[in-house]
Amino acid sequence: MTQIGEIALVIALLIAVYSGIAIFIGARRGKAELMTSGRWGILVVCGLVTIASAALWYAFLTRDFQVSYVYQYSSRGLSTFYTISAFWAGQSGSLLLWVWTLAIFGVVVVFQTRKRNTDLAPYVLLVIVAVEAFFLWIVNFASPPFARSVAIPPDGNGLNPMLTNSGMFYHPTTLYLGYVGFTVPFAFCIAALITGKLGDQWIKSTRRWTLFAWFFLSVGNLVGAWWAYNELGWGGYWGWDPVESASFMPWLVGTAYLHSVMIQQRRGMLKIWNVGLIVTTFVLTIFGTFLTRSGVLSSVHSFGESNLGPMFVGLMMVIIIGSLGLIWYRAPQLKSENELDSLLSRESSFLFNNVILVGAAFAVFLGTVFPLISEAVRGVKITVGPPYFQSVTGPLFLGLITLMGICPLIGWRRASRDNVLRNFLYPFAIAITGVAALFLFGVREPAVLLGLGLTTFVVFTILLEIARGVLARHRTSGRNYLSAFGSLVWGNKPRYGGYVVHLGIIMIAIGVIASQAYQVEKEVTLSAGESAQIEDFTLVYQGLDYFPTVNREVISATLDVYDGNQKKLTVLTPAKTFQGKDENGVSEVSVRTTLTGDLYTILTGWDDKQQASFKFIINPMVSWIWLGGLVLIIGTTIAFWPDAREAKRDAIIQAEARVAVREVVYEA
Amino acid sequence: MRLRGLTVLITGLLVLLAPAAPAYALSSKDIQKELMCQCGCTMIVDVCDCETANQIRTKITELMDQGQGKTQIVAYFVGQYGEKMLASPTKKGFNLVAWILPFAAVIVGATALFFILRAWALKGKRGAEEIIILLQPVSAQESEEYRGRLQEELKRYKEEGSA
Repeated sequence: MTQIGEIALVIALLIAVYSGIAIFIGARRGKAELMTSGRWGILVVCGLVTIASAALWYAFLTRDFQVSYVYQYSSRGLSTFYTISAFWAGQSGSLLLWVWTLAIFGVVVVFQTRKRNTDLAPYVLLVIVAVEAFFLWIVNFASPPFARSVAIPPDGNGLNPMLTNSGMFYHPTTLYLGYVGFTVPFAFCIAALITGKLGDQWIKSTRRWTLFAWFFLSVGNLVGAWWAYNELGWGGYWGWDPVESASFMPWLVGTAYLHSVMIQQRRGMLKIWNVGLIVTTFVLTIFGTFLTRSGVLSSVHSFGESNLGPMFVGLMMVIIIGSLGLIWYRAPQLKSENELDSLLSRESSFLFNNVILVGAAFAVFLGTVFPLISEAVRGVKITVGPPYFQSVTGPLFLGLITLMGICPLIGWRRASRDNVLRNFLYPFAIAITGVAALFLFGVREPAVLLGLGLTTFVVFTILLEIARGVLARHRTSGRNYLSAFGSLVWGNKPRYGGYVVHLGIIMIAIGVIASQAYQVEKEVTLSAGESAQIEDFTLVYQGLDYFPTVNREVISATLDVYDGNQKKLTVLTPAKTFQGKDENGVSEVSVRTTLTGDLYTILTGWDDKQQASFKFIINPMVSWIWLGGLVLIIGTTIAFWPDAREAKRDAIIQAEARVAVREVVYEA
Repeated sequence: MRLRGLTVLITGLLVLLAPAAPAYALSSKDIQKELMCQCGCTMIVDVCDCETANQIRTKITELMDQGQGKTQIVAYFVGQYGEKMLASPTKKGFNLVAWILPFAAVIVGATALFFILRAWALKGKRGAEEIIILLQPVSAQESEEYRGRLQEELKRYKEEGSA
């Protein structure tokens, strides 16, 4: 079976190369048969990569340890669930997952472009198949997943215990859907540059792809944060590790792009800026894959150094130089008639938002690569860690939140100053009242007051905007408020979906601000029966339990948790698990989660006499981050939902195009 | 106007977020947060629970007991492990590039954007001047005239409709 996988990958590479050439020549010389053949090739490549992926899973599930990759990342004791996820536990499998995801997206694009976008399609598919070929080259020659050893080891090395968490299923997969998803808008952009059709057709065609990729990148990052919080056992969710930064950068630039394309769609402006943003986003996704896999920067995510660095640098150079060349070549068409009705308009606020988002991405990029720059310039190795990123990005994010609040207050095209001020008044007054209330309750930190004041302001500008819409509908159509609300949101899904996403982001921001500012921590050593106090909680240590499970040894402590009134709230069982040869063990934290805060317990040590050491952490409002993530999912789904009016509009455009073609044919 | 607001905001935030001189007693945690664990975990000492981090913590307590201050203790570890022990770059010399460049980039970008947008708005205004002339407020007499005409036309429209 593994041989079948190996052969499938070789043939897939050959067919990918053939498809690229066939599509290119077909498009250049107008040979429809060649193009069709190339399109079929993309379907075949997907089929072959699917076979290869199935073969890898087969090797894992049948414990074929002669395959080095299977030996490296699984063992007989590993449950089926984690054996399936071991597919992407290492480099070769991750890259296979990359190319498989892209191959599936390629097929979707082939079907989407059967009748639509026939002018752009050849070059869109060419770019996709070229990227597929690059990754197929790597999984064939540089990092083959099916490489075999001579001997057949009796058992495998086992999966890194850190990776035996349900996050292993969702974090890499969602992140990859996001990373790989950005290939499609990038491919459309390059196709628009090649064909010179630089209107908003390519942007309209890729709105959902961009939203899809952005959505999964957001979810992937949040799931990663949740995983770190629940598995790494240090009480935090974001450590500014180079690889975390690597997946955050395309998110920032992608977010800027999602906003700025709206201006091109409405006004035909900013063509070159949008092209630049999507190319940057795509390069950053490759940069992210490169950072994870190259071992250039030390990170919790890099599983051993590899020889892939130069290839990825080469790919990035090709993308950057190629895109810049095309932009240079198309510069005359990219110039747009730039005009604004007023400086005070939503267009302006979107562009300031772009400056901050791109600035934040630049800050994260600079911090991530600065150790390399320092070594090159001064010859001194330095670290750029969390304190740097927090102090540099903190002010930028507060600026961004401010704009999130101001933006809905300003209409498209032109807003009168009086109008903006009137809209500004209520949310601002509520925010000030909120800040005053927080101050009275003892909050004194300026950054927290400012942060929470701004988030309150944003929430109320959004609520005010929605309330106005509902009232207007209620008045004009006589619907009741609920139905007016429903029809408002459903009538303009991208807009209101966007507002819901903003609310989600604000919830995440509140969770981050509160948990960063008010984390309380206590380290104690207790004997059985002794108790410790943290804030209002009393934790009574009942003793240790030792027990083996199917594939690991567990040492678990029992802690009874009481509140200030000595009412028993829950029982927490922080543990440490040991698997195979691993001597350090993995912390299994035990957390009591409420909306106001988490009580987070870690077992750090113990002795033979049932004495145990703990770290207790109070993490205020962390659950708001995860709830904000859910709201973000709901908002993006609303924005993504098929729109009957949009479909109708498109149908008219299509019909007009067909009529135009017919007229040309008749005239001829 | 907005630009000035933004600059003030960013400068204000920088001032607010700059670490203030500690008015409280030095704790081991304050030092742990500024040092990077050297076990290869890429985490700060404060949150790492490996053996290396434990040793570093013990050493910090030992040095604090000897009466050493934060600067001295941090300097000790830099002497031991090199500058890479610091969780963030020092704010001097070449490292200032890392601290200043992001803000400089955003400020320069926002300033440039402000002037570009102003130019675009001026261009848009010139183009819209004709329309604006048409939209000039009319005198009370004129407005009365228009209203009369509108009523007349509406009446005619209704009559035609019912006919």
